[in-house]
Amino acid sequence: MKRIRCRSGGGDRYLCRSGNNEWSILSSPVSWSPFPIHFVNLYGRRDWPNLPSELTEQIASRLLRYDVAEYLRLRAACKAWRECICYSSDLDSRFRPRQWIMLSKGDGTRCRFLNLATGACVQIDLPELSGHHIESSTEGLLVLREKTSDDIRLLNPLTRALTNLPPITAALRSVSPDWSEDWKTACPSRIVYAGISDETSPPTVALFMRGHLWNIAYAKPGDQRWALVDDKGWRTFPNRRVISDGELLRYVWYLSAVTLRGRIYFATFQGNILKLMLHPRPRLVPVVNDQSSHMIWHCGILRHNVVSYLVPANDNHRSLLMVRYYSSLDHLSPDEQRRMKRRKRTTLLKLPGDRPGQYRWHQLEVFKVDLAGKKLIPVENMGHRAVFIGDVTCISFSIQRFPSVYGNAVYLGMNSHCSIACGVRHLNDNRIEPRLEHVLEGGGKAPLGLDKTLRGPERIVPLARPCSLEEYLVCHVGFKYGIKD
Amino acid sequence: MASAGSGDEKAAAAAMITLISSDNEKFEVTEATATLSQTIRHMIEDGCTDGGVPLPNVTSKILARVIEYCKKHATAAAGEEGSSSSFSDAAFLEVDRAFLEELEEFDDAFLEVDRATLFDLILAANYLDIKGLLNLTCQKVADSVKGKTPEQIREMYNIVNDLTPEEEAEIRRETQWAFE
Repeated sequence: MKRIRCRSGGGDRYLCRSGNNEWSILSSPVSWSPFPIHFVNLYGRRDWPNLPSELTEQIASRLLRYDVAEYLRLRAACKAWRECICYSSDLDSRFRPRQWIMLSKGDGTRCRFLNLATGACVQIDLPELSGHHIESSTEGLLVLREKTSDDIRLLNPLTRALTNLPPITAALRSVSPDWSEDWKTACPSRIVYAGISDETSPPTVALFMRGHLWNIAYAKPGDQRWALVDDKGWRTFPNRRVISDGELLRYVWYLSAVTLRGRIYFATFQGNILKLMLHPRPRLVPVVNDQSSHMIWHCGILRHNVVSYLVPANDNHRSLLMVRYYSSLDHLSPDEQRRMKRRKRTTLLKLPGDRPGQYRWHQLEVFKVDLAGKKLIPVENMGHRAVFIGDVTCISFSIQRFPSVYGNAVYLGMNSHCSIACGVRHLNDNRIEPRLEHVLEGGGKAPLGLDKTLRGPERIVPLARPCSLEEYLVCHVGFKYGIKD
Repeated sequence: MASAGSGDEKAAAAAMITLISSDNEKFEVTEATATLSQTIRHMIEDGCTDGGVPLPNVTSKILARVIEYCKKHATAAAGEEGSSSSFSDAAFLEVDRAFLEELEEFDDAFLEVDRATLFDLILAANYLDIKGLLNLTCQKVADSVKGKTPEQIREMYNIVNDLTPEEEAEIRRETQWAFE
């Protein structure tokens, strides 16, 4: 006699076959068989809410792979689905709203979020924001700092999951030590970037802090304090001797950070890419290291004339682009400069200088990052993609959902190192467009580039309202709070 | 199975299995087609398919569709196996790509069904344990609700909103944006 166990909403039933090859359904077990069989109402309306829970879960998990917002909407449809579609309240990688950016913030705790893959835009009230500064964001999670205690919290704006991390006070002091009171005023210590690494469980959060010095602090939920990535070498300015030793990599000036497939990558000003590894001990590992000659000596001072930005290259954050902007052509020999200026296809930007007939030259290059091959591959065509680079974050998206934005173009963010030159660079015909016009909130002329006096980033606003999407986005990549609504 | 000699494989491919739907309709299929279903594969392994396999959860209408799917995918699998021995690598890749494209087109057309049929196909795929068909149908449902509000999802799938006012209020408090 053959027996098969079946499951249905109303308890187990058993499909049995007797010796004379006849099948029957029994309501009590005779013995076990491994085949799950579901009984269904064969007639009438299909009862979607009572779809076996593992099937509902399977449908939901497919939605989750696409976007956590869709998952939450499915969950809100009925009682049965709400019960069987669960979500975790921790840093679970599957629930991070990677495609969503905070576009703007209103007066209270109401914020506008935009999905870069679908074009969906929602307003979300986040009472969790009150009493906190928004310091950064990573993988769609907002990094908050409590105003009085300096406690760090990660907020998932869609699931509203809040993860508590230790206060950052002591770690911040490490980038502006007590002995440098002057520096403290000139260079207030602050959190610039955040990243989240799934190398550990629970995931580790890393914060890049900038003040007089540079440092990376890391902690995971449950830790008592933030630890610092122990690499004293890169905490001081490089000098000529160090460069001749070929150790420039240890002296990195971080600028851009991206979390990609559960790992954190940093780009230095010069364009070296470092990966934060946590095992066996937290350290920075060079990934792409062929750009170290891009610092120049100017009047006896070593300075960088190049800024490199890391940009997620597609909607599911699986590959990287690097955009490199040179504020002058000093890194090229006079011969190279002449040759490049004559070429039709060029990465150079030609802008009018102070006097008529005079020009200022800059260079803007786009690369695909080949992490496996440890190299950068020049990109001449990005197809439908638009890239926005800035000192707060960098984004890229397909313009198919956003027809008002130029594709195959690089937008230079507001209030960033790169924004001095122009507004948009088209890759197909080397055309450039002027910056979108913005003013100080008080009515004054907005500074072109980085301005030390401009402490509160919300003080810059577009010239006219309502704002275009381009205006929202160039502010999003340049200011922590984006445009104030 | 894979380690069996080619003579055995041919014999296995030629063997026919009778499937009996809930409304007593009989379907003759090859063993290769039937064994896309893990449930039936196990039955065959246990040697209890003589006199037909009754499938009391699957109507003839749905079973016909499921068999259509299995036939196509069993042929594709057999074609791939055959090609690996008789073509060069490049030709193999070419054939492989053509197969995949054809299969994708077939799947797309196969899913052009109403929601009730889709529901029955999901349950049949689950009951018969046909991984490919289950993935395909679940993905179809997931794709169909993309960008929809809970209210639109309820309308699409004839779902009665059975949430209590308290639950509804709680959801709205947590995720008001989801309803907009």
